[in-house]
Amino acid sequence: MTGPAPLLSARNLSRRYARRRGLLARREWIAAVSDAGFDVAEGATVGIVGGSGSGKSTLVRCAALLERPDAGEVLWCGRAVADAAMRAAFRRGAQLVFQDSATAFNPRFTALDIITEPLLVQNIGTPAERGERARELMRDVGLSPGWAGRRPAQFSGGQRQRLAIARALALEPRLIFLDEALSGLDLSTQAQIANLLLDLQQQRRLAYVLVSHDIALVARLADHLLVMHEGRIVEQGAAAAVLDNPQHDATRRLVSTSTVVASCVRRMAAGAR
Amino acid sequence: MGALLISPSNPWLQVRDLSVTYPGAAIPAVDRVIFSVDAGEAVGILGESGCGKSTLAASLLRLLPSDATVSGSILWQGRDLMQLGTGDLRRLRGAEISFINQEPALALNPVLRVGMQIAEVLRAHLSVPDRKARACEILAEVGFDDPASVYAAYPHQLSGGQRQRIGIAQALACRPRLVIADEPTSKLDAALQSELLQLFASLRRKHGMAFLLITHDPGVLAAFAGRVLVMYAGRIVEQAGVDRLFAQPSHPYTAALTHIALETFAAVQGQLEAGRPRPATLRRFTQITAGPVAARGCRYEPRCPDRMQVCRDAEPQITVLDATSSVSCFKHVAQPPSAVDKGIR
Repeated sequence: MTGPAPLLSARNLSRRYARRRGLLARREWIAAVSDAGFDVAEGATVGIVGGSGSGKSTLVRCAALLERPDAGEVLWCGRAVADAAMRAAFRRGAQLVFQDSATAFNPRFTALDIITEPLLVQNIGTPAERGERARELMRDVGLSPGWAGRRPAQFSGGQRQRLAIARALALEPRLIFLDEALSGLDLSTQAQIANLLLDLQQQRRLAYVLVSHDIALVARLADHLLVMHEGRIVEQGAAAAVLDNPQHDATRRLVSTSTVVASCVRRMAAGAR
Repeated sequence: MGALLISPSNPWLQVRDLSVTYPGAAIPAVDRVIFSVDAGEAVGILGESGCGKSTLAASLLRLLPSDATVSGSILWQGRDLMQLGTGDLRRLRGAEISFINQEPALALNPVLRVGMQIAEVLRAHLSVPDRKARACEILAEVGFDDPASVYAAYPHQLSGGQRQRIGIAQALACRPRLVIADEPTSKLDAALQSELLQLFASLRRKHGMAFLLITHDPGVLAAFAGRVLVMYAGRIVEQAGVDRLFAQPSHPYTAALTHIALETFAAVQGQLEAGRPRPATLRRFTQITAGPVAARGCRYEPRCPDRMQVCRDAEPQITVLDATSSVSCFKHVAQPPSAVDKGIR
């Protein structure tokens, strides 16, 4: 590849877990991810899809360095994230948002505490500056700054997702990993959060790694699509091309079982519109 | 009342004017809900979080917290469940009507083998001499290839999708006639989702079970339900056969929901036709305007793109559209109430 180095480059990542089938059974190894790699360019969206147990979450956890891969490396702006200094740069530059952020928040923290925590950990600003920044971020993600004193339980699911995005933005990252961040939300909420992510991407040249089991949603939002099956990337390419002409059985299955796609095609064909 | 016209000839479940109010709430969580489920029918309830759909589901089996105020009637094969005593209710739950919640996996005891947890349900309701054989039969029915080994497994040894199926096996153990499932698929991936819906469909065919499936996902209902009730802020705002609902939504809220559901597919299709690179505008989602629930008039009025003056002043009554569809919206009322009605309210 010519030109500038990609923002993130995950190379040959492998991760295996030990499992016992019974109390006295021998330990066996399950390869959750085998030799998987991908690049993320600045401002681009990479989508990762796969069924449950396909290894998509493990791949993302390894690429985000939440988990140490057994083999492979992660490059940030072309340099291996190997020493403490690079790890610190990576931690500031790449953030995460998960499905149902409620479980990722300290229930006793206020919204202000939640958003300022990364700044506090990184020793950025005075308390007053951090508070001001948090209110600004709340405005950016469509939350009223007047709610800064509320706790997670006082927000709805969609608002909590906005809060998680505000926290992820606190350190002005260049990449956000979104692991099922749009799943389990109502359609109208999902639409709002997806539009928010698109706006933020445009304003800040953010890159996203979007993990989901919903291939139609990912195809809509991503530039590049990876399909995981049994720990391996079995197919990848431009999102539209992969969806249009799936090569691997696993991809075809995802396309055909996506209930929204499959059933709505039928309805649209039958419908009067 | 016009809505009573839309009752199937011989409904198993007939719900009339069911309301549930929680203490301190400004409006009822479930408000004068009327619907019925016919023999072997697959009915869907479509609604977004907070619309009262889970409260409605729980109220049908009287599973609500004791501080909730419930009124109306729930007729199950002629018996009014509202009048039933605790003992009769216990005998009915699981045996005739069973309930699958969003995460049945959470209800499993982590230190008991899953087979025993299914057999437990059988013990409560049936005198089956060989419960293990019957439990294995059910495990096979919900799609396990090796029921005997699953019978002996502990919940943590199974995947999330497998645990979900154990919960479903528990609910189906006594072959209930009606299964109420509250978001049974929302935590599952697409493949497991369609597997589960196929399982439900085959149970309907084989045993003539009726299903009441509650979800926020129109796609799930398009794939499974025959008839759909759309719920907004405690009210059923529209009901229709699933084809009509998607092709010709009558209520502005239904129209917005089905539009978003179809839009992702249309956008992907549009991107395919446009080739690459794809226009970013196709990625944007149509948003339903956010807004409060109106305290008077039509609940949806503050968010509705088609709102009229009358919507603010009066509550729309149910308008019957055809044999199986009805809607509560002034757009479908030939002569909206005049200023005189305004004075009455």
